[in-house]
Amino acid sequence: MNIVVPIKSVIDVELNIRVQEGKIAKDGMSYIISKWDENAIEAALQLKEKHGGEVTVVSVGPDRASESLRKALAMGADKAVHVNDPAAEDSDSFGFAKILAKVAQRGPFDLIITGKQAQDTDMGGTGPILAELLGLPQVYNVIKLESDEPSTLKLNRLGHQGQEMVELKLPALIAANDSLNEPRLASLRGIMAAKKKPLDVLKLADLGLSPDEVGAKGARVRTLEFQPPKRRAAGKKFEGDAEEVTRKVMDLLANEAKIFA
Amino acid sequence: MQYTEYGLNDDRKALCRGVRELCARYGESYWQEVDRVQAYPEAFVRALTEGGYLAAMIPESYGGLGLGVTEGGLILEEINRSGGTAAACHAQMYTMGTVLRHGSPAQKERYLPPIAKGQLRLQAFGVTEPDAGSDTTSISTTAARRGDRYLVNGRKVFISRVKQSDLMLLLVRTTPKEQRGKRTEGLSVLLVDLRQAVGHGLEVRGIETMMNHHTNELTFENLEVPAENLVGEEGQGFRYILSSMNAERILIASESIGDGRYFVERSVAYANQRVVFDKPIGQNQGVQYPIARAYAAVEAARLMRDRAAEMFDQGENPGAEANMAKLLGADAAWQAANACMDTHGGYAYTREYGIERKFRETRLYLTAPVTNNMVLNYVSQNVLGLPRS
Repeated sequence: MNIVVPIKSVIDVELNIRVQEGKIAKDGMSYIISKWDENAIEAALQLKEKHGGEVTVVSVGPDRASESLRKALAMGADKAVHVNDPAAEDSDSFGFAKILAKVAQRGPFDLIITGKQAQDTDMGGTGPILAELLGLPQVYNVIKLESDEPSTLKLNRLGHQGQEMVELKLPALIAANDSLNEPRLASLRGIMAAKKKPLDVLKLADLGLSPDEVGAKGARVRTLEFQPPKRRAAGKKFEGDAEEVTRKVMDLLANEAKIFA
Repeated sequence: MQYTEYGLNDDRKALCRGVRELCARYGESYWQEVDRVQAYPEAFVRALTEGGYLAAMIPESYGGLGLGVTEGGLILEEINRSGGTAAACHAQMYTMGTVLRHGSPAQKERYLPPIAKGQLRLQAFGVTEPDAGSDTTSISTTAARRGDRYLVNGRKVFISRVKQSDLMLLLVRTTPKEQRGKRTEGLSVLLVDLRQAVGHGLEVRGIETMMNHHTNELTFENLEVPAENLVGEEGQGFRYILSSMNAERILIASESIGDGRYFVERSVAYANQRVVFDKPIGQNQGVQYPIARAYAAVEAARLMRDRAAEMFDQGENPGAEANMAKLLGADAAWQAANACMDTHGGYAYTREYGIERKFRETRLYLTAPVTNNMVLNYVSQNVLGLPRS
């Protein structure tokens, strides 16, 4: 089973993210694999361990994206493709999907696994557009995955009201929820082996794409600016007799915060 | 505060990240809990073993990763920097070095592969005795040859992780003190299989300490050790101990540096965030300067450690550098620990913040595995050529 996993290198959200002049300050930040993409890698590795085949990880981004790709290789992916082209920067979901579609079409594949959304923008657009561009069926927000034979997946996807059980014939695209699995840690041996695994660096031209189709020029969605979240106002503190305080808090929740409305 | 990783190539950065990601799964609450109940951090050590990190310095031909002391040091540094305690398992990384350098081919074949796989734990080395602390050549635990075995009698103290080891190296006297030639002769290293020894001539009594450190007092009464478990030549044990010291110094320095970075990072975060008198406390130079000074000390120790490690991995003898790295590292960590305590005010003393735990833990590096005064002796006499004290 050959599986393609697109991954995104995002700013480590544990760090103090700063906004300067409407843009995210990138200097000195460290980058990690977007967390749902790690679930996608894990799912791909488990399928490979069961059915054989190869896992290819793909990332579109500047030089630093190669670190995330190396990490995926250290976890156990077999090869990596890094689309590193300044013209691809500032792509919207549609642009990224176009690039990823071209990469996927370079070789035969059975399955594409994405994270359900990226951890930085939370858009969740690239996966569905990619499936559309490639004419693939897609199952989103997967929380359980079984596969007795390589041609079929049995999936549970999480909806607002419950779960949907789906049987999916490959080729297809699925998107991972973080409850799908626990991503493995790279072992030291894996980290050492990763540097010897193939990592192709491609330009847009290598994929037959022109700079106008993607990046800021080809984008249909334009990001105007970023704003830091507003600081939360201080909370209220209540002291005194438990019964009295409870009554007061309930009253405020109902009439001021209107949370029961 | 961002992670600075200058001077690290991509491979070493990836290594550090690997350790950091593993450690992130064992956060403050994990270490606080094992500290509270004085438990061995079994789950963490298992994860580290399964990740192959403790086999980093074992040659590839024996199933290890064949990495140098530079990488070994970075692994231990990252563990301590994350808030963890590498002391729980660092010896599994380097105790095997004595077997590797001085053991017979049969011993290496038999023990190193399972150590590399983590199936055998060799993380105890019995050297110190109640009446011979830093004065190693005066030890009195004896091993007398009786046919195809040695009979061991005596006592050892502060022998760590014996209860968490399958094998232990043991420094014993095989020639009586009066009969030895040179002061450094007459000692030998035995490999003791603890699974058979405990309760059959070896009694192990745990020593409670101010931190969660698993150390013991050992009593040997006619413990039988097969003669084939002698490592290297009889009488040359002290030389073997000396030859393992540089690596140990560098690795211990790395743990101190990790502690130092932990304290500095925690201090900076808190000083930026804690508001008193309507401004972050970090705005006060009285708070800033101790942190800045500690940071400079930690970074300086790191440079010395890097140089010692580089020399070691190139096959040079970094005696002076390794000793100085240990001294500077332990001092810098202690300085950073105190700055961190001061920065956190009263909260530093609460268990919840974890600072006091680290404070207790990092104090040990001033004393063990060698006291800073012994390092100063070495530098004074062996490096600077001052008269022996």
